[in-house]
Amino acid sequence: MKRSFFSVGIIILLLLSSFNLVLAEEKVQSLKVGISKDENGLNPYTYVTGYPGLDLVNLLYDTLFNLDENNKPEPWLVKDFKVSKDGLTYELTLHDNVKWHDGKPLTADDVKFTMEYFIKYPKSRFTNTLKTIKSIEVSGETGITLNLSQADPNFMIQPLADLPILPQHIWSEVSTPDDETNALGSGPYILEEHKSGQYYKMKSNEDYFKGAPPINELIFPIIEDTTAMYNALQAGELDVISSSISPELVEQFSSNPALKVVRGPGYSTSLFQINAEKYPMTETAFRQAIDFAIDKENLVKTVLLGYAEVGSPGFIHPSSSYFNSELKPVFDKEKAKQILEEAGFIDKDGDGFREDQEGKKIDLTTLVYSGNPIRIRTAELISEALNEVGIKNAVKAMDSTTVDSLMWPDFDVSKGRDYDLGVWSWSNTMQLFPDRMNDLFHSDPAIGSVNIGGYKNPEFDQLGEKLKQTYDENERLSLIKEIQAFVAEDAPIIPLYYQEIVGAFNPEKYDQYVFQVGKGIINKLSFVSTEKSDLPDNEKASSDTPVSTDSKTANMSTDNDGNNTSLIVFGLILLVAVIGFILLRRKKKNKGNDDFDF
Amino acid sequence: MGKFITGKLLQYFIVIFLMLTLNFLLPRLMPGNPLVFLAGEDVGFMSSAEKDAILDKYGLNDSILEQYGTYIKNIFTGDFGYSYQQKRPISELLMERLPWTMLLTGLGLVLSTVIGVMFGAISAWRRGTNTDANLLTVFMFLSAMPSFWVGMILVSIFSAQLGWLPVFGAESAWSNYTGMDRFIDIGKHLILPLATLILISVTSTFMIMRYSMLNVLGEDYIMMAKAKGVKEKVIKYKHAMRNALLPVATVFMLSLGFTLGGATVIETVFAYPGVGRLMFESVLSRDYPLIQATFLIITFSVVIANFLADLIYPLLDPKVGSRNG
Amino acid sequence: MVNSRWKKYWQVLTSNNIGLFGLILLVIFLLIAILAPILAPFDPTDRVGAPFTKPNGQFLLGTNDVGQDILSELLYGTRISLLIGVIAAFISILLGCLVGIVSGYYGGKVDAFLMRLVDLVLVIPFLPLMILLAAFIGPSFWNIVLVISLISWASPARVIRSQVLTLKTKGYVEAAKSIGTNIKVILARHILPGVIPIALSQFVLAASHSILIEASLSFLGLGDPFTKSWGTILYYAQARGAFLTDAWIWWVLPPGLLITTLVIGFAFTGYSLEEILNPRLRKER
Repeated sequence: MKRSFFSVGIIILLLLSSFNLVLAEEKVQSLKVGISKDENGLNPYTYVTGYPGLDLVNLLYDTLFNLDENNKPEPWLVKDFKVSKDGLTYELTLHDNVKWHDGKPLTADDVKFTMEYFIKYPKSRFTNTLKTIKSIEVSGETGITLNLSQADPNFMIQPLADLPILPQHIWSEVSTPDDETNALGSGPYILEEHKSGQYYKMKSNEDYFKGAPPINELIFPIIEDTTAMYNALQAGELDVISSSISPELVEQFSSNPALKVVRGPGYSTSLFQINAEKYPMTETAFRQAIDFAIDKENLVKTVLLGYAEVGSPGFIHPSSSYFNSELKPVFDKEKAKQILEEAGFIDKDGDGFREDQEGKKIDLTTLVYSGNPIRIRTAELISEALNEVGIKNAVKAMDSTTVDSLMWPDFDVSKGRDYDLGVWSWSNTMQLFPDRMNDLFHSDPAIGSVNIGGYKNPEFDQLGEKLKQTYDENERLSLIKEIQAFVAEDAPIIPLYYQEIVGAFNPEKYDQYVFQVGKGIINKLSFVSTEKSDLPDNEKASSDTPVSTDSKTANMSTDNDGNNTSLIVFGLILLVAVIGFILLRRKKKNKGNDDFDF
Repeated sequence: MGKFITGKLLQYFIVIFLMLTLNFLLPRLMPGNPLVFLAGEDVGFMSSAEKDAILDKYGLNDSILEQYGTYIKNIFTGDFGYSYQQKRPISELLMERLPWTMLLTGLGLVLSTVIGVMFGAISAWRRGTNTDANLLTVFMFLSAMPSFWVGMILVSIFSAQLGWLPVFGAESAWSNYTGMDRFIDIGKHLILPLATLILISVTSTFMIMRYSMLNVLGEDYIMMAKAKGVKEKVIKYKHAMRNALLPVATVFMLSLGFTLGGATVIETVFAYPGVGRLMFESVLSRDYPLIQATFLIITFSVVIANFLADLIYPLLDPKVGSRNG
Repeated sequence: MVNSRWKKYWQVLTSNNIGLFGLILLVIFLLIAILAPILAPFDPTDRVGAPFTKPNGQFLLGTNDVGQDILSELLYGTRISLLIGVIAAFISILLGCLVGIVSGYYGGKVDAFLMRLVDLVLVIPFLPLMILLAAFIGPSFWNIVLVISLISWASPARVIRSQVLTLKTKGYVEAAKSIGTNIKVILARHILPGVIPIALSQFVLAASHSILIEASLSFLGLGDPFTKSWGTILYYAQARGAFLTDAWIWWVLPPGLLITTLVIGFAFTGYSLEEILNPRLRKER
């Protein structure tokens, strides 16, 4: 019996090693980019996620402007542009050598068509910001003038640097854009194949107006399990991945000589959401006490191992030019207790938890997504901290759709909410321009469309209204700083941290990636040949803060040893098991044959 | 016999009807709605009218009864509808996933049955010896391991550490392999998930075979044959094994019904594009039509397999027919 | 008389190596569960070290992603995993017994109805329903127990029903019925003694299944992340990259091995119980 086990083992080993030989072949001009989700059809109507979905769309389509690595709009399809002093007129001139993938020229008519098409068939991300356009005039093949009904300080970012231009000759016949699978654009790559749930394949557009792109073939395998994705990158099956490396693995990846790791600020904002409509969270003092009770730095240190920026109490990311640097995160348990005492939240019955101002017991629930261990841990730590200052609360983890349905029913803040507290996170678009503060905190649901805490404060509304009518850059800057200070003081939400983005890639295959602040290395700039000569070096390209961590060579040798030790340990365990098994059998044999020996 | 079959048919019809209704209700009873998956992530910036238009388009503003009517109608016309999340016809999605699922779970079922039967027979035949005890211990050990744990450890060793086998997926589809190369590629991707599946599922066949073989070996006619001095091999293969296979065959039929459902956990570990994974995702994203379609397929195949097993079993073993009837 | 039968079961169970081994394992785990506060070096909910510490003199199995001692988590986790297994199995066997006895004893329409119900539950694809229920009622210790037992009562019900049918054919029951014996007496005297041993072996098997199911649910993220079971420990281990680093040796292997051992303990005990109850399977000599 034993012998046959061994021979089976040897056969398996032989089979495996022969497979190993077959594995060793790779195309030089092809790059495999791991993505975590199927993005459906890659056109502006059907893609799924903002990142990396829209970034893949942008490899196939072009926008008038494009955000550079610091999220400043730079001309893309546009060669020249002029903005009138009052901010109401945009005169754009397109490049004249832009062609669709089928060879037809891209003209100003396509641009006008696209803008009108999106108004006719709404797709909120693009449509909403187009609504300020009053009229569009086309002059010749390349000239276009946009007249706005009111000045919009972010018009260049959205829609101009966001709206993919559609080919009129194709989309003019499309009346159900949500079901459209066509993805013919003018971008640097051409979609060749999409196998649902498996991969996308793109080939380079040799006639691209900014020059042929540097990669012949881009393949995007879809791997939903992050562990499998990391494994595949380490095993060399992928050359780069769209997901950020989780904090606990950064060291491991950095020590891998075949990989290069770049890190930089991320704009996704994690926060402690408060239902400001529900007593006692309606009390400013109560919210302030929560703010003082939470040690944000400890969260960053413990849960994110330092790979995050501590949340600014004014919401806006410190690397934004609108950041109010006078605001500092607070943490002071005694202060929290003091605020609560002064406001009348006192533990009268001596059970260790405070009662509300009328002496009723407080028992709150913190909601969190059950699929996200980092957020769960965050929630746990916060819950502990709140209990310590006497605010009784417990964490409840539920699947994301369920949590959404409680905190943001039907994704419509006017429909109310049914929760106390929650660990929440907004994607990077919330940090893209500071006007989003209005969306976040304005009490009118039509303006404060993501005010999921139901926060109401006329003072804030006033500031917000003022911001909407201010176009002068300096005035805007000081107003936005004032708003941040106001939010920090009134604590409608508690910003916790901005998780850093850590990208990893195989530099032998391709290393011309550009780290776009707040987003990462999977973006259009990474996959086109740009005229800019100072881009290539990653550490520089990834702007001010990103630091290349692959210089941490100290750990390298030990970690390599570690890999061997792990195998040895596993071997040892097997050995012990086998020996134990044999011994067990022996012993039983010696015991003699009683009736029920097996 | 005829009455038996119609009776059974009626019962199964009722079971199917209840399952259909359950399929319809369960996803709708779950909290949350699929809006975010229908509308994309900008759902927060949409006006109520826009959201309503989307819900209208997918018939989600209809009353529950209307939706139920449409659902039943669509089942009978074989129209599974569109997936909310993937925005593609569901029949197309299923057609992509089913072959992989059948390859993995089908092959897994066949192999684990063969292995289980083989060792189960050996074990029973050698009852009371060390071989029996060893086999029993090993097989019980196998079934005691959590499947995802086995899978992940196999991945850690053979893919991540040794780099012998691919980490994810069913094939390197983008490589455009053809013929033999593709076959080998698929094979390499299949080894680990298949091995995991066999490791954790082989024990049930083994136990059933061993149990049933022991029963058969205790039957009078085997005793008689032994007493008459019939050769051991003849007893073993001709009489004992053939008869002992009956319960195994039934269980095989029943498990066949479940193969279409895939193996969610293993498919998740190996990122294998099977139906189980599809179903899991559809539940998480409240993709009603997709949940219904995957459940429907599983229900139907399980019920049909049950029915066939019911039909076949009395044919194979007259004793059972009389016992049930 | 009853007493001597139990004595015999006990003798048979302990004279059988597999059964004895299984029992010993179960006792060891029970002891660990009870003595967890004494054995464990730390409180598993305290963050006692730096996150992701490798094993050292202080933390024998290192620390987890928030700096809790993994060894202490495992020791305390024995309680949860054992409890989930036992409670879920208990509820499902209770349900199974009820349905099985009623169905077998009364027969006829009641039997037909209950058996179709059993069919329905057996036909429902197992995991998907778990997912739905877990998603619907949300993850917590009791919900997991409920979900597991709701789904695993059907097959014991079948087994117990057939046992009741067998008992009925033996004649005592019919005889007792015909002389007008009280149902309670029939149940207590003739049916329960025959059913309980079978129920016991079913219970042990159900417990081992429940433990595995809990682990799988936790892995898929449908468990309760705040209940420190072995399955939950594995969930965090895999979610925080332990499979990709050396941490798998001290963070992934031990909980998996513990699950395996506990399940084996139950499976061995259940197996030999079954063997005892089916004398035909005993070795002929």
